[in-house]
Amino acid sequence: MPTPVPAVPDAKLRALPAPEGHIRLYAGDTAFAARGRASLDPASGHPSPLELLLGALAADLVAGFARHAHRAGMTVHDCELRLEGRLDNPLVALGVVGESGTPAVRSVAGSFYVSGEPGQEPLATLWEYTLAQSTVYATLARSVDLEIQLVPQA
Amino acid sequence: MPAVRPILVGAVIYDPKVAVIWDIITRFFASHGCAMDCVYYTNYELQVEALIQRHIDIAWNSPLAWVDAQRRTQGACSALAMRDTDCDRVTHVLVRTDSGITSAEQLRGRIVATGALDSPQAKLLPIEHLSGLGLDPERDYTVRRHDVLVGKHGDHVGGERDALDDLLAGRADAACVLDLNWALWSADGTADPGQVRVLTSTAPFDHCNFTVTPAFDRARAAHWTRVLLSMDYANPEHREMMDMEGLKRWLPGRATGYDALTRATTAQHFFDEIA
Repeated sequence: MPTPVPAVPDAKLRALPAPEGHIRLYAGDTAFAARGRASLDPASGHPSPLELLLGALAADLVAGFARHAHRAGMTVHDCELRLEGRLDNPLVALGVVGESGTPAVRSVAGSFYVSGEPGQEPLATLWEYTLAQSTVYATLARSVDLEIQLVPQA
Repeated sequence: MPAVRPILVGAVIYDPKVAVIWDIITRFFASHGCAMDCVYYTNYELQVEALIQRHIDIAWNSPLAWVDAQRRTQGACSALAMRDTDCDRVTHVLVRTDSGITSAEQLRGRIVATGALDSPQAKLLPIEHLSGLGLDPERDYTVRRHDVLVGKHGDHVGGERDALDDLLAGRADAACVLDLNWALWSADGTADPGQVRVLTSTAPFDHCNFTVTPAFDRARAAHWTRVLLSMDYANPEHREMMDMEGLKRWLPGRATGYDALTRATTAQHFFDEIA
């Protein structure tokens, strides 16, 4: 039996058009801006939809790992997650007439660099637990090739 | 929301990075009170069709797309504007300096490397030029063609670069390369200018232009053209955009630089073969 859809949403967000093709987003008491469409202009000053998607995954994983490490009483000296997303065909995402394929995200690859105290609970165990608990990771894993390596640092 | 539909400009792109240039140009037009949007196409055939069907107002056309649009409208199209670098280009037929080839006549029985089937500068025009020198591609020499991204009319210089590589590696006796590309590749180390020289060059021809049909409102066309021509290379805010598009000045369009290409498409049965 599938779980019934909850009547109360777990997250809410509003989006409104802003000048110069940007989008203004409101979540809770926070407002932030994003680039519209699939613009690749790195100088636009706001994240693209694809960068927001990667950002959601990154925030979920880094925050999750920190939380699980804290609960395990583990000292994390430093950590950094780097992600790269690739589309099935970015030209389709730009609306190029005549292109084949889809605008979907095909793959996300990256590395999670982390350093902690020697002799602690294995970082790999915490990382696996983090992946298993991540909403965004679990959702993307249904349709995207995900390959994020744990890279312990000395 | 705009009350009037923005002017729709078509462009063929093969790399998402190219869209960045058009985003910047679109913002430039918006800041000058001229609403514009871009529609991208994967090849020029689709873009010319869209122009004729009035799905777009203006097409950033390759020279071959211009010839195609003129052919399909019985010469009714106009060229609004073009880059300074689109005017009076030539294609060089290059040979190795140690080849002993000193005249086009000596290409008989040899291999000439070209760009893609539909590259005006790296295939159609140099073949037409050699024909004018009495060399028939089906009878007098072998064409070694590099069909990279056919449909994009040689915008992607990969086929032209492959032709040069053939020459350097000895797989061909001559290679057809646009003057701007030869200037770049002989300066950046791709080819040693001491080992390669220009055997012969085509007559000057024109490259891309912004094309419209008579169906596009004249006043809107004139306004759009005025805004485009107002870009100033001396203005730092404009310079980046103009550098990315490879020009120092936009010029009023002219239709006089495409006669050789028109002859080439007829002589080489280009549109018959494409059809």
